[in-house]
Amino acid sequence: MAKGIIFTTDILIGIGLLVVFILASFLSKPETSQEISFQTNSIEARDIINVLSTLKISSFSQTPTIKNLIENGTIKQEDLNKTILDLIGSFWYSGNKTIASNIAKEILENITKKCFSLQTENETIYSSCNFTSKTISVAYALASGYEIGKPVSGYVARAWLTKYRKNTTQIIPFYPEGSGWTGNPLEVTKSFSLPSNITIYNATLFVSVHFGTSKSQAEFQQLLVNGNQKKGNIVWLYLQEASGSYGEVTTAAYGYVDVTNDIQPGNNTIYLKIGTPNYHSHLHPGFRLIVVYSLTQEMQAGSQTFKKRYYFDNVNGNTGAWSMLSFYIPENAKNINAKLHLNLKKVEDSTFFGINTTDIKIYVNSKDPFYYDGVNKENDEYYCSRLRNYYCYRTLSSARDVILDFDITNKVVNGTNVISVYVNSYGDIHWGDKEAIIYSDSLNDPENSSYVEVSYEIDKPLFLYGEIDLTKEKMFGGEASNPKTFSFNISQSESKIIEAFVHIAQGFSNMINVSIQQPNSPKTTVFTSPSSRVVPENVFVYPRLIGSQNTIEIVDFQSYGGISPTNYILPWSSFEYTYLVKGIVGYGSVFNSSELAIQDAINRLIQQVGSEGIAAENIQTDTQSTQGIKWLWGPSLFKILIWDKV
Amino acid sequence: MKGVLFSLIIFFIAIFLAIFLLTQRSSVSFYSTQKALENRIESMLSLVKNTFDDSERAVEIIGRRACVAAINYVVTNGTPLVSANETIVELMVNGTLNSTPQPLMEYATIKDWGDTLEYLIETQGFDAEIEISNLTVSPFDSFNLQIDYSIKVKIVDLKTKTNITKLEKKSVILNIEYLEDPLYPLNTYGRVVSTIVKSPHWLNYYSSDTTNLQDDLSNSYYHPSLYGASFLDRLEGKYFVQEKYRRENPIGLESFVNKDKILTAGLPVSYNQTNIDYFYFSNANVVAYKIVGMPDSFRLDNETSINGLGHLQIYNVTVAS
Repeated sequence: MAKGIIFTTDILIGIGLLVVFILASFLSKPETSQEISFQTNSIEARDIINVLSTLKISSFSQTPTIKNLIENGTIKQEDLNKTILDLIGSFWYSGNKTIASNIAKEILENITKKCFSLQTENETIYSSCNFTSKTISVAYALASGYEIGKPVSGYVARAWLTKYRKNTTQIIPFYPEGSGWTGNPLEVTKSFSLPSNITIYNATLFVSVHFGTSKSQAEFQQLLVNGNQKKGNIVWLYLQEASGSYGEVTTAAYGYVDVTNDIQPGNNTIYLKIGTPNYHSHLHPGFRLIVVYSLTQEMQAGSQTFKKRYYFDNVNGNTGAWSMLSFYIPENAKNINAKLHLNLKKVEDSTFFGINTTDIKIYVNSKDPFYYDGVNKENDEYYCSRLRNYYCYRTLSSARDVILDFDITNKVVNGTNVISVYVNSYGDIHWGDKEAIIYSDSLNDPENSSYVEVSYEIDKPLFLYGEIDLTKEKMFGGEASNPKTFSFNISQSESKIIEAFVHIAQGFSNMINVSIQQPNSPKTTVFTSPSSRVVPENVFVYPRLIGSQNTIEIVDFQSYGGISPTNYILPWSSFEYTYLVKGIVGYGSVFNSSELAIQDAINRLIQQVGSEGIAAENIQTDTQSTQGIKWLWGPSLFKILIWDKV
Repeated sequence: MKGVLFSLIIFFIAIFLAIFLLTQRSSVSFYSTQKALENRIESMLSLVKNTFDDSERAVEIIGRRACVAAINYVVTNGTPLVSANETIVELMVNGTLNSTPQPLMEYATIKDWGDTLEYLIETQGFDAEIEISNLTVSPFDSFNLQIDYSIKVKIVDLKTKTNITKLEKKSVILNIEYLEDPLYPLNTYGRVVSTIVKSPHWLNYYSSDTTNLQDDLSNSYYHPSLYGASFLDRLEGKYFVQEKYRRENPIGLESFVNKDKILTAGLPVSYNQTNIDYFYFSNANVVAYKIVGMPDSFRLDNETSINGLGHLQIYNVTVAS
């Protein structure tokens, strides 16, 4: 009985252990099974992601959605080489989610029979079943160029002006010239042409003359601007009296007159007639017309070859006439050629005790004459039988017209050039019986006019394409003084200067020195008069010498070197500069459509040129857009999830 | 006695079963640990592969933007590049041109891509170092550039104290179609533009029907060329393929200059000059013929184009007598 109980107990223990073993084995089996399933799904997930990121669209060109997209032209020939993942990503991120979802469905359902879900950035592109399994295998791929809500690729555009309307300034200088002696008038006629398609906003004529007494100004006889008498409209800003060698009182006067309504687009003529009872009347430096206008222009490219003609003003002196024309040649100019053509009328040949005295003198950047037609190149006062009130008595023959042509190439310099022409007069001495004329009528008779013609080449054009030139003027201001300094800043947008001039306004003058300097830099001289009374109306400043902060100094000095105590430089001296503005904007941001990119380019262009006074309504533009510019969004993570169907 | 024997047998069986179960449990645990480690390593390998693959995509995106930035510089300044391939590399790597940052390359440089990817990998629990070096740009053929680079990826798993470093040399082919041809603006003061689009009619020209040729002329479509400047040459303002870019296969481009466009832009037209762009703009002294079926202003030279054939043969035209 006891044995039986023991056996029975043993059997029960054995059975119990067997049951435990079987249960343990049974319970451990599903884990192994799940592990195997997970491994299988992982491998399949990796395979699928490889398929998506490796195979090209062309491999699936027969799936319904892709076939349809190819047929309607959405997928182009060049797109067929893209990967399927690229295609799905492109559609998904550009907002075409249904198309992306359909492509994923059609391709993936043919690859796997298991449950799958294609996701990116926590969004499901397509899921074949609901998540029911405890174990899900995941594989992923990285792809740059995608971001939620951002387009995959886009357009960039640039724009440039083809035609525009700009506000600019033009300065027309009157050269220092004379003269009307002892009651006889000086007549000066300035002929010039402005562009015909301009709207003039302002025209101011600054008048700088040496004439009769300051009290009556009786010798200021006429100022006709295109025939309109303006002599009574001059606002005199500065009057400086001085006594001459014979006790006569004369006046250096500076004033201005508004001629906005008198100056016109196209051809213009200004006629001036002045005199002085005892001395000689003439124009001083600073006589200039400043015209501010708007001009419609087409974009143009800068030239490398230049041929410019600088016409003398028509100077009708009595007796004797002189004029001092100034012009410039850029620093880097080469193959320079210059010629002087003079048409001198009513020149009176003089002799002194049978000696053929000089009646015509020409100076080119020198204190020594370049040309003189008699025996004496200087010392005119020694060749007079009598010198009275500046008049030199000589034997005179009948007046004649003289045409002179000179090649002055070897005499010109890079920078400011000054050519002085004297007829029957020099300095404070004159001779002759009646008028002498430096003839010029540039509008109606250009070939017979007196002029300097300069030609030269530069290495690269002043304007590159897409650049607009604008000219501005800065007045010195302040008080009349000698020396006079003027400090000014050039903004970044104005920094590409191609031409710059100092316009010198003076009452009395002798010789000047013009220099420029920047802070903590040495002073650079840009012009020094070669001899007495050679003070040009404008002095060229090399653009490279102009920085963001500048100080210009003008000093009037005597030939022995001392500063002229009463030869003041007036506040109406100015700095004229021409700078370039870009009329072109490059490629900007990337946009979803060509239209948006182009509009952006035009807006940028309008903003750029608008800051320089070129209005949007007055511009014409051309544009160029480039497509297929992808963003470097992301990288984004694409996930494929695989699990077993339950 | 027998009962004791049976009990011992049962006891030993029980002990054996217990040991068996414990061993199996331990094996499963070890296997799971191994599997987890394997999965981490697989993830790292996958990341390395993904990085390599994505680098090609990124280089293509960055390369095209760099080309556009280079074109932008040339056409807005009117200044050709000194070394176009090196400039494109500078743009891709640093986002600068002559050390000046270019807006188009903002957040679109190789470094930007590498930094973003490193960050993304770090969010997956790894440390990453991605380095692209030895980047070079060269012509591949007339319409494609070849960008070669070395990429080194190092991924470290701090949890399992494992790391993978892999280096590969890669090559990406970058299509230049639909980019602007810098040679046109450079030679027309910026007034005439042309986009590089491969002619759909290439080598389908018939002397009896010049429709395709006329289409190429009116659209300024591009053709492969043996001597005509390649895209990189054009960025340097050159008219002919330079020795430094030359390959065994043709890399040059040529288009027909549309003389009407030149005239409309207010520029002087050389009517007797061949319409082949690199000859036209270089004022090359080549004999140019009037062609039957083409506009009066159209001229074609017979200089060698491609496959050892002259332009007259390639475009299959009849010279007007």
